[in-house]
Amino acid sequence: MPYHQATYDEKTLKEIGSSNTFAVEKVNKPEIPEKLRRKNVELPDVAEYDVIRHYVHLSQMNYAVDTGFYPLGSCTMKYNPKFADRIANDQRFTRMHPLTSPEYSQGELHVMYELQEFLKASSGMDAVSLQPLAGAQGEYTAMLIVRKYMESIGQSNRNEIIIPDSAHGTNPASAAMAGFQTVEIPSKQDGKVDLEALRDAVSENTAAFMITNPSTLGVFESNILEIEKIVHGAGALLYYDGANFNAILGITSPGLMGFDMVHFNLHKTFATPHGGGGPGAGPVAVKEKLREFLPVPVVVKDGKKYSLYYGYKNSIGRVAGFNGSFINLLRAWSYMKYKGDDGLTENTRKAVLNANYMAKRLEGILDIPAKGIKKHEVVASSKKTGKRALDIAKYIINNGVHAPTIYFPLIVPEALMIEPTEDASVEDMELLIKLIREAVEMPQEEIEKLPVNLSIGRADEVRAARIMKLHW
Amino acid sequence: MSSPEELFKILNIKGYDDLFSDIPDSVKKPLKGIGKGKSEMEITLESESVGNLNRSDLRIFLGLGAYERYIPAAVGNIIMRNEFITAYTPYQAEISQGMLQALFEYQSIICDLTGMEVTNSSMYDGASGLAEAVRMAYRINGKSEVLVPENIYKNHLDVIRTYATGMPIEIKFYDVNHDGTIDLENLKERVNSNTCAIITYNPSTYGTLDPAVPSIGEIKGDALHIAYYDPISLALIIAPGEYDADIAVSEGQQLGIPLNFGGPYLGLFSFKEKYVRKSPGRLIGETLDHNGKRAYVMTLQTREQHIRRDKAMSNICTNQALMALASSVYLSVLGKKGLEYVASKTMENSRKLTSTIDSVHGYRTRKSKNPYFSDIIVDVDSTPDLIFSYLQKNGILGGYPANMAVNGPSAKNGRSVFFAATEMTGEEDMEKLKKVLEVF
Repeated sequence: MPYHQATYDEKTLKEIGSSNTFAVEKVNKPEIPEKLRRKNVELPDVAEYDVIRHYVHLSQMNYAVDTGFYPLGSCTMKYNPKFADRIANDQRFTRMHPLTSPEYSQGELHVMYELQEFLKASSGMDAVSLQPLAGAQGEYTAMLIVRKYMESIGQSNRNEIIIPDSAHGTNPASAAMAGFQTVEIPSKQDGKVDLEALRDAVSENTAAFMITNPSTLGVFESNILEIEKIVHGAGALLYYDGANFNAILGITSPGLMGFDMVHFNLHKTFATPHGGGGPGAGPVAVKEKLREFLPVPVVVKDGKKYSLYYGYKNSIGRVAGFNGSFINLLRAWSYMKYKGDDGLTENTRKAVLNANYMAKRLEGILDIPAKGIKKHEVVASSKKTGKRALDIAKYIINNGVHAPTIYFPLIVPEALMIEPTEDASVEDMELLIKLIREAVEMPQEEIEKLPVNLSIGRADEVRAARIMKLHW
Repeated sequence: MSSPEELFKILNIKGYDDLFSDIPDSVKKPLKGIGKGKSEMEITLESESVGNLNRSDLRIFLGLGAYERYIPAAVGNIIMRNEFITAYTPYQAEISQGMLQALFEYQSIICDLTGMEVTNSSMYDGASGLAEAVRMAYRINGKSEVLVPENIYKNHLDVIRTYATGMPIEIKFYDVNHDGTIDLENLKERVNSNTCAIITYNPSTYGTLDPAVPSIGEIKGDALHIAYYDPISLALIIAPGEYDADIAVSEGQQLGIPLNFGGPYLGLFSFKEKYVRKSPGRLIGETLDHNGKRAYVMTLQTREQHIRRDKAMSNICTNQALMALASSVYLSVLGKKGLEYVASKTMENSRKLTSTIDSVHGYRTRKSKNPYFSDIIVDVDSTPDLIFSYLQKNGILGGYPANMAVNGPSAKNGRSVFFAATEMTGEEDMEKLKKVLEVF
């Protein structure tokens, strides 16, 4: 049976005609000076039952991990256990004002303190800030730490960040936001760092090298110790983009590999749901010499009591209004406790096993530019098949599986980046293989007509950019 | 055929170790420090006892950017739907129309609420949104001085300073009146040809509505007006779009998001359409599919990090999509009438709270000819820190020391505190507050 996504000709809330049903008690309109008075405010005028129907319809036109296999590379769409939802909605945690004194918010601080410790243990770092609100903000925080550290040792001349051309786009964007010049170095064909290019690029102006390991091609950078020597030898810092941390957790750690700092994406490695685009959480962990640069406050423990510590003299300052994305921290804390040391390590093993299985089964269908053992994901190229990655993706979604990430990393032409995660069965993976094979074999004029089984046909993105209709 | 052993056979390996032979042995080490795994029951029970270490039962008389408001049950019901909460960013538009339409509607509702032309599909929170607005203003006019009120929230000032690192931006303070509203004459004197942006608050950070804010357009010259507003207040109070603000920012927590000890929250971020190409974050646009049916996609992505890399307008990738959804459900369930009720009831309660506090010896709400909206600044005779901790001990969260919340001296003797009311502040609560304050 072909897949069929629920399809509605769903009106917008503005177009739904039922009238508002929200019951309120009578209240006098307050007196407001004429100059400050709102003349008219327009909001949707819809009965609650229609609001609910509207959003239920919309939800049915939205694919998610809980509706099916979601092998979106680099995004680590693993299963989000439901007990964490209940904990995340427990009023004991949610009905807490962020300015409550530590004495009366010991439960929140307990969670934050333990999570700091867990992240230290798993990354091999010495200190953690939970404040960054998303992975990209974690990267930015880390870059500000690099900057302030270099200033503190009298080396503000170090204004360059070296980044491989295979890096996530957030890396150069975050470095530039922190006021650095970015220096891009080419990767080798297998996605690994070109050591010669790195040696040529480092100088007395290098502040840091940003790298994710395994690389975005899903292979482990086995020269990491050599890279560490080159970077540290040049007096620069080594930054670990934790987007791919789920590939090594429990096997090795950024600390063991010689990194100075790391950010985490809690939704990737620690199963906090991604919410259709967020919220995330992007804690940052650093080695001892960078501790005093972290955002404040951090949670400290004295005997049995937790408190907030603001004393880092060289702190880069705040990046968030309050205490970070607390509920996501709580979810990650509960997930880590649930899995434990062994369970988290088992996640890594299974994720890597599944990615290698995918790579093996893709042989003869697509090209895989990076040879050898894969880590958590596999990057394939459809170039030689004559099919565009975009068309293959549309074929896959048309059949009820989410497509891999496409056109990333940029160094692979017609890239399809596949990350099955630990929560994929052989049946899931076989289905994806079958769909990729069918897509490759499908006549071009037919595949271009897809999708036809979803709530809409192929969307015209060029038109969207041209007409720029950003509200109703 | 799905046990690991069977996959090992297919891969022609002996076991997991072979899959990690590419990692040097010298850097391998088993994970230790998190402990043994637990069952779902164990971790749930543990979380409950950890939760019990919190005083989540305090009566809340505190705002300062995070407010306890009534959240209709529909909000939690919708945002907990699996199809929304376990989805990723809608990279494949055709299979993700639900979230894309929901975010397009969010952008539209916030435009309607603020009177602004464009709203992006969310920022992390109000503070970082404000800091991004400063960066955006600099990208637009390249000028260096950012004027902020001397009583700006400390956490906002901190985040702006952090985000201004490495940019030639200078933060300058303008004076405020005794009740926290803008000293328009003073501000006028400070605006010059090098002014990049003027940040205003309405209500002021002291909690009073500020009649000067709608007049900023007359004195701003070439500078951009960044208006920080209270989204609930816009049911009754003039909106940023009505006084020609260039960028309008707020914290969206009040729109259907629990206090959550500070996050996740929601950065509301709107601006004039002519600035769209300099704006941070993601945007959802309407278009057609190839059959001519209405469709939604992420658009203008050439501003973003995954395409523009180091030249991007921001590094934002993950934003607050689910919280944006929460705010849309909140505002659609309440509708105009509901939001007007919440805003009116809030002001009524603020007025009552003002009289309650004034009736206690040693507590004087700051006098102003402008009404308080939600937050209220109170001058006190005793030590603010002691009031704050005494109240919590007695089951009340309120009386937050002003010198910890806002920049600059809020009172000459440093003795002032903040309280706040919302539509949920009951008369019984106020009676209790009065009693507790009287014995202090």
